[in-house]
Amino acid sequence: MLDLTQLNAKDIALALKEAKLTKDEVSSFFKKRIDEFNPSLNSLIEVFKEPDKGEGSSALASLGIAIKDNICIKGRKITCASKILSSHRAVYEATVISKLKQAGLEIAARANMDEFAFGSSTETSCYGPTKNPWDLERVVGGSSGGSAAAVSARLLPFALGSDTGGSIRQPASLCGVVGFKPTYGRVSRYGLIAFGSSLDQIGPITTSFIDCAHLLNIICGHDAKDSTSAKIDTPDFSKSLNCDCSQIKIGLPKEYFAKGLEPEVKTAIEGVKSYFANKKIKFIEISLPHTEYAVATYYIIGSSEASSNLQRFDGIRYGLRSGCSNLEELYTKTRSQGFGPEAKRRIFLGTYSLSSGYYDAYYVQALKVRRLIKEDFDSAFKEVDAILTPTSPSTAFKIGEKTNDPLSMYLSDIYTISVNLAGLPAVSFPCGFSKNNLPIGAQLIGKAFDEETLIKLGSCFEEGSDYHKQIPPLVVNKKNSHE
Amino acid sequence: MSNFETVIGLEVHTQLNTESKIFCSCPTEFQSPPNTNICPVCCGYPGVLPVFNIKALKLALRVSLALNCKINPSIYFERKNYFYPDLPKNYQISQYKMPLGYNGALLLPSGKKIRINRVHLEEDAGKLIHKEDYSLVDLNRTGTPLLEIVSEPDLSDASQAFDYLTYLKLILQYIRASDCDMEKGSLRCDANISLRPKGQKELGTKVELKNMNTFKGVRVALEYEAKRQAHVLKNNQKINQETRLWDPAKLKTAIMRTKEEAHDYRYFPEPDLLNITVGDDLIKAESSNLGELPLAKSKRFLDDYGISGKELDIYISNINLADFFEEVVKIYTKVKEVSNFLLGPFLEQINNNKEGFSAVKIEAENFSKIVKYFSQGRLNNLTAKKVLSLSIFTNEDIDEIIDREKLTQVSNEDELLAFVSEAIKENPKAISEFNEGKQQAIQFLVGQVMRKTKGKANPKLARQMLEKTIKGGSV
Repeated sequence: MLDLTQLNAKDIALALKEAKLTKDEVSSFFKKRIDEFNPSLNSLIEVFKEPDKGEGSSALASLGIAIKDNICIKGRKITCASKILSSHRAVYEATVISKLKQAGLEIAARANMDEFAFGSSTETSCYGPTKNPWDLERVVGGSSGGSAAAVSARLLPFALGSDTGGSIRQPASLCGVVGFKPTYGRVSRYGLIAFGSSLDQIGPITTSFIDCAHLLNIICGHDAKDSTSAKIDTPDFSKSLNCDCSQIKIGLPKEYFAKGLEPEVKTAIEGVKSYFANKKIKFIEISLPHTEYAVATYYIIGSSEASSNLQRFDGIRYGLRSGCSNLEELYTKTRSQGFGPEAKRRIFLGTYSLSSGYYDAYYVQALKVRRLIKEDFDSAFKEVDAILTPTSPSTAFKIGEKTNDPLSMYLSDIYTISVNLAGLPAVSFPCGFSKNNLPIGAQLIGKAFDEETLIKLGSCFEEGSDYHKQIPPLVVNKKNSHE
Repeated sequence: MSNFETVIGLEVHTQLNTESKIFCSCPTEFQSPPNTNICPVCCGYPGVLPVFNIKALKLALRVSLALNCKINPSIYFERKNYFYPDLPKNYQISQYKMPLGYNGALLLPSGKKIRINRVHLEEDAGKLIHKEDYSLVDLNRTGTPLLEIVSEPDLSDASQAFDYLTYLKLILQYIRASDCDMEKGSLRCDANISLRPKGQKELGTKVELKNMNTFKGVRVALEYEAKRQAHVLKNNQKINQETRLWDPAKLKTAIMRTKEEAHDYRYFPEPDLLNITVGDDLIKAESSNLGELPLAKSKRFLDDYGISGKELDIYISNINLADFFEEVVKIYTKVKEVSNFLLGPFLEQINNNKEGFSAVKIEAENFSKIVKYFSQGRLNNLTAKKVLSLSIFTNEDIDEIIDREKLTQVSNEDELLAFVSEAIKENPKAISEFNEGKQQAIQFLVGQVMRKTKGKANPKLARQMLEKTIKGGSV
C-alpha cells in the first residue's frame, strides 16, 4: 500500500475515487497513526469511533478532518478545552461543519487548543499541552495547536483551526504545516465559540497549498446566519495554484525585521525572498509604522470582546455548575472553578478596559489605533500585492518556558496580530528548518478578499521546495517507510 | 407639599408587534408553554450569532416618527453587560450612544408638550418564576423586540404621568407598533422623580421607581413617592440617588439599590452585527405607514359623522370600535342609529367578555342587519339584544338566528289580538286605573302582552290596540 504520509489530501481522495485505495485502507491507516502517536502528542482530544459522515462530493470527499474544539459539531462534546464546558455537547451544527459534510468529508476528531483560544502554546488547555511532533519537549504553538500538530504528524490529512491573533498561523509555523487565515467575513463564524468576535476567523491547516485551496473552496461563502459574513462570491481557489507570479509585487515591512527576530528565522525568510526573486517577483521595502502598537491594541480589543463573550458561561443553562446557596455564589464559584488562569486574566483585562472611567482611555483608544493599523496596510497595498514577513519571531520554545511570563508569550504573536486587527487574509507556510531541526514558517499577507494571490505565491514556493514534505522523524512509521 | 414642585420623567418599554424575535426566527407568541419558543440563538448557546429582524427596525422607526423624533441615519447596536439568569448571554443587545430616534415630542390632548429624549431598540429578557427555595427560568420572552421610549423630565405630577402613558399607549396602538398590554408585559414603565423648591431651576436628586405593573400603579406610586420626598425634604434631610421598588400590596416604595450599587454596564459596540443604515426610503415608507393619529381621527369623526363629546372619546380611545363603526356606516348609513347600538348593547357585550374586542367575530355587514331590522321594527329592544348576543362572537347569520329563534316581531293585528284580549281580561285593576286617567297603567298592560309573546310583540302596536280596545269598551 502507498505511504499516505507522503501524499497530500487531494491525491488520497483522488486515489480513492479511482479505486486505487479503499476507504477502509485509508481510515485504518490514519487510525493506526492516531493510536500510535496521539497519546504522546495529545493533539486530539477525542477521536470519534463513528465519524460524522458527509454526503456530498468534492475533491476532498471521504477524507477525515480534525476540528478545533471550539467549532460546534451537533451532538458532539464541545469544550474549548475548558473545564467550564467539559460536559457540554453542541446542540446545533456550525456552518463550516455543514459545509464539510456537504462536501463529503468525515468529521473525525476534536483537536486540542488553548482554553477558549487564549494562548500561543496550547498549554492552557484543561486537557494538558499538546506536544510538538518535531520535539516532544517543545510547544506546538497555539491556540490551534492540536490541529497543527495532528496535521504535522499526519494523524489526519487536514484540520480546521481558528485564528484571532495568529492562532492558525503561529502553530502552523511551529509545526511545519500550511495554516491559512481567510479575510474576516470570508468564512461563517456561526458555530465558532467566540473569543474576539471582530477578529475571529476559521481557516484550514494542511500539509500543502493544494489541500489548502480545496479546503477553502469548501468552507468559504456567505452565510445568512452570520451578519458579519461578507456577501461576496467565493472564487475557485484551486485555479490559483501554480499560476504565473511574475507580475506580483511583494512588500517587506521594515518593522517586521527589526529587533527580537531570531537570526535563523530571518535567514529562512531571506531564502523565501531569493526564491521569489528568481521567479522575477519584485520586492519593495514598505513601512507599517503602527506595528509596535499592535500587541497592546489587540490585547485590549480581543480581551474586551472576550470578557463579554465569556459572560454566558455562568452555570445557569449549560456547562459546569458549582454547588451554591444563592445566585451570587453560583456565578462566583462556577466561574472561579471553571475558568483557568489565562482565561481569568483576559476576562479581568477586558472587563477593566470596558469599565466606566477607563473605557475611553483603553477601548476607544485601541479602536483608533486599530484604524491606523488598517490604514497602514491600505497604503502599503497601493504599492504591493502581498506582504512577506516571518510568522513567528522564533521556532518552537520549550513547554513551560513562557507560562509564567504572559508578556513574552503575547509577543509570540507580534507578526500575526496586525492582520486580524485589519481583517486581512494571511497564510503561514514552511520555509526552512533551524539547526535543531525545528520548522520555520513564513507569512504572506494579502489584500482583503484576495486570498488568491497568497495561494498563487504559496504554491509557487511549494513547487521549488520540499519543506512542506518533511515529516517529523518521531512520527515516521518505520513499517510504512520500509515498504 | 406646596413648597415643592414635582419633576417626573418616564422610561417606557414596549414590545414591538413582530411575528418573530429581534435576532432569531423564533415566534414572539405570548401564551406558549415555558421554554418552547426558543432556539440556540435566543438561549445564548456558545457560538451563536444574532441576525437582525428588519421588521423591528420598521416598527421602531414608525414609533420614532409618530413621536416626532429626529432619526439617526446610521445606527448600531451595543452590548449592555450584566449578569442575571433571565439574560442567557449575560449581556443585552441594546442601543446606547446612537439611538434610532432622539429629540422628539408628544403633544398631549391637554395641550401639554412632553419632550422625548430618545427611542431605542433592544432585546427583551426572559422571565424568572420564583418558587419557595428555587427559581425557574422561562426564555420564551428572551429576544422579543423591545423599544425604550425615554421622556424628558417634563411631567409635573402623577396624573400628568398617567395621561402621558395613556396617550402614548393610544399612539402605539394607532400605528400598530405594539399591543401595549401591561398585563402581558408588552408595556412596562419605570419612572424618575425628583422634587425641587418652587422656582428653583436646577433639578433635585432623582429617585428611580420600578415595579409598577399598571398605569394606575404608576400614578399611585408617583403620588406616594412625591409625598415621601416632600416629607424628607421638609425635615431638612437629603434625598439619596437610588432605585426604589413599588410594592403594590403595601402601597409603598422601598429601596432596591443605592447609587454606589448601580451597575457598570460596560457598553461597547456589538461586534456580531453591522451598522444599519436608516435610509430616506425606509423613513418615507414608515411615514406613510403611520396612518391616522388620534387628533386627526377626532377631527374627522366630528366633521364626517357629527360625533362629539363622550361618544367621541370612546371611539378615539377604542380604535377597534371606531374602525368597526366606520365599516358598518359604509353599509348602513344612518350614523346615529349605528352609533347608539354600538355604544349601547354592543359595547356592553364586549365589556362583559374577558377577551374584550378581540373576541368579536361579527362582520360589519351582518351586524348592520340588526340595526336595520331594529329601525324597521322587525326587532325590538329585547330581541335585537338577543340576536346580538348570539352573533357577536360567532358571526352567525342574523336572518338565520331570527328564523331559528322565531324572533321576528309580531306586527300583525290578527296575531296580537288574542294576547291583547287576554291581558285586558286578566287585569281589571289596570283597566280601571287607566280609565281613571292613570297613563302608566297602559305601560303595565303592554308589558303583559310582551311577556305573553315572549318579547316578540311590536310594543307600539300592542299599545295602540290596548288603548283602542279599552276605550272602545269592546271586551
